[in-house]
Amino acid sequence: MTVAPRSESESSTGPLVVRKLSAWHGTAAGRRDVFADVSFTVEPGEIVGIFGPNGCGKTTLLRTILGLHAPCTGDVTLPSPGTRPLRTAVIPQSHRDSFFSWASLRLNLGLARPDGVTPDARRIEAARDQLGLDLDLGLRPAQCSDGMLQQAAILRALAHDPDLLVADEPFSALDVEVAMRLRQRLRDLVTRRRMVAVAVLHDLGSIVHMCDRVMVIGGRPYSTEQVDGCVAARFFENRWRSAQASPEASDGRVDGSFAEIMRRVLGGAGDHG
Amino acid sequence: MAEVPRRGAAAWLARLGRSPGLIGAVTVIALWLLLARTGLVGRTLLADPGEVLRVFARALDPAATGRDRILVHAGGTLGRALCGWLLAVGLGVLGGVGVGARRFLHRGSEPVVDFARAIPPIMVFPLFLVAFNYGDSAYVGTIAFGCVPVVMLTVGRAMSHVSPAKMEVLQVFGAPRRVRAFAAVMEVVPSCFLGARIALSLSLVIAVVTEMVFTPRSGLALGSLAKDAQMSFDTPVVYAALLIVGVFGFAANALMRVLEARLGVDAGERL
Repeated sequence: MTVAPRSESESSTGPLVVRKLSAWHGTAAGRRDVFADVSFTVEPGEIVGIFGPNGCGKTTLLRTILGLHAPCTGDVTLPSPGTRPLRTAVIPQSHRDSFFSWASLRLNLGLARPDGVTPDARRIEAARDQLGLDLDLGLRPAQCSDGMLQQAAILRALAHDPDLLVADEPFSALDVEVAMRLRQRLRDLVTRRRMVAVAVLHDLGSIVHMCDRVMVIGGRPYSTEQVDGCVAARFFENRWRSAQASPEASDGRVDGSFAEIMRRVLGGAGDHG
Repeated sequence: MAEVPRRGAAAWLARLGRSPGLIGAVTVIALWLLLARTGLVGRTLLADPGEVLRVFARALDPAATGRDRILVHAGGTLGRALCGWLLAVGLGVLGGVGVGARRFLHRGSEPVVDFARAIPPIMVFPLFLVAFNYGDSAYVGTIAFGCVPVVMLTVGRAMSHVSPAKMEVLQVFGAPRRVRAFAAVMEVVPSCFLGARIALSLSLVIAVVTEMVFTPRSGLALGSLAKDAQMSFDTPVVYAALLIVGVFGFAANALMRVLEARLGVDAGERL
């Protein structure tokens, strides 16, 4: 895989461009393809959701974009924030395993910085206010619930003021109220700060309310297709309504385009939800 | 309802009930007294607790000579054991971190460390005696030889199993290499404590055994003293030596646990 050098443009962060990206597990001898020829672009201020069944390679796709998965081919051009280095943040799927047990949440946030260990209190407080989080950062990870750690992971990412935000099921452990509030705040921040954001999402509410576009990934051989967020929203809304009216008839016929893509890409897994 | 304060024997029993460790110690001492005082076990095999206490009383006399200087002998042994232990912990932690940080090095070194761990330190003691001209360094070296593999194996394994997820998060956020190294080392601190605690009791065992094989030049050695006392059927001194080693091992382990608790390290849960 080649990662293009960042341009020197001062004015804009620039898009994330993924071209013909393929990844596999194992060695050349015992190779198992995860996904092949994935191409998409994410513009600044845009959130692209990745949706698909378990094991289809969504997390591997994110890891490949971040340069953490080696066996791959294709091109990834990262956003270019100008003369300063690119700031990347991740909200990992295994949020508990992303915090050091010997450190408080505050120190954990401080460690995840490019310029030293001391937590940037001003940035953390600003991000905490923006997200509306009431989180005691003096706690150790062992003293926190999964939901609190996921909130801390979101806070860690936003306090970093990233140009590129990569999130893997960022709301999976949160209660409905907090999840609704955070996805709204996250949406606002991405738009306001012109971040480039890619998020793997399983819950339809987040896809509908957060994403500008949805990329459906899955099927065998693996393939992807993109759909406008509004179309996805309409599909899920209609589907929910039809399920309310007649549970037996909730098969996705209500919205042709997205349902068709779901069926085509996921190969019969279009009844997700 | 307010609890009525207990007095006398009832208070003692209540205190015992709250500390199972104390019950164990009191039971052993009671059993010892019973076996010694009733004559069920001969005096050459089991010293009377009173006689052992008298050995300690004589040892506290500044003018004590010979076997009565048991506390001075204990100082020599503990000094050698501590020196060997410190050397082993230093080398073991450095080696474990260095080797565990690289998968290739860790895989390559593990068989060697396992091989060294299988060798009884007492077998290499004569070599150390010759190498260090029969000085105290031979004892310290033998103790370190026995303890380094234990510490190195514990720390090396922990280092090689530092969660990649945590390190990847730091990498994505752009944390500098020194911060990532610091975080990785902090991850293995509990294993350092674990290795150090295992090595502590081992160092004491090796110190006593080597002294029993060969008396140090200074002549101050608990192992040599216990062996001499055993040869001349001076059982109270043998038991006093046993008690000193046991109490030191217990106290050192307790001290390590306190240190772990103060530092918030959870190595205690692993042993």
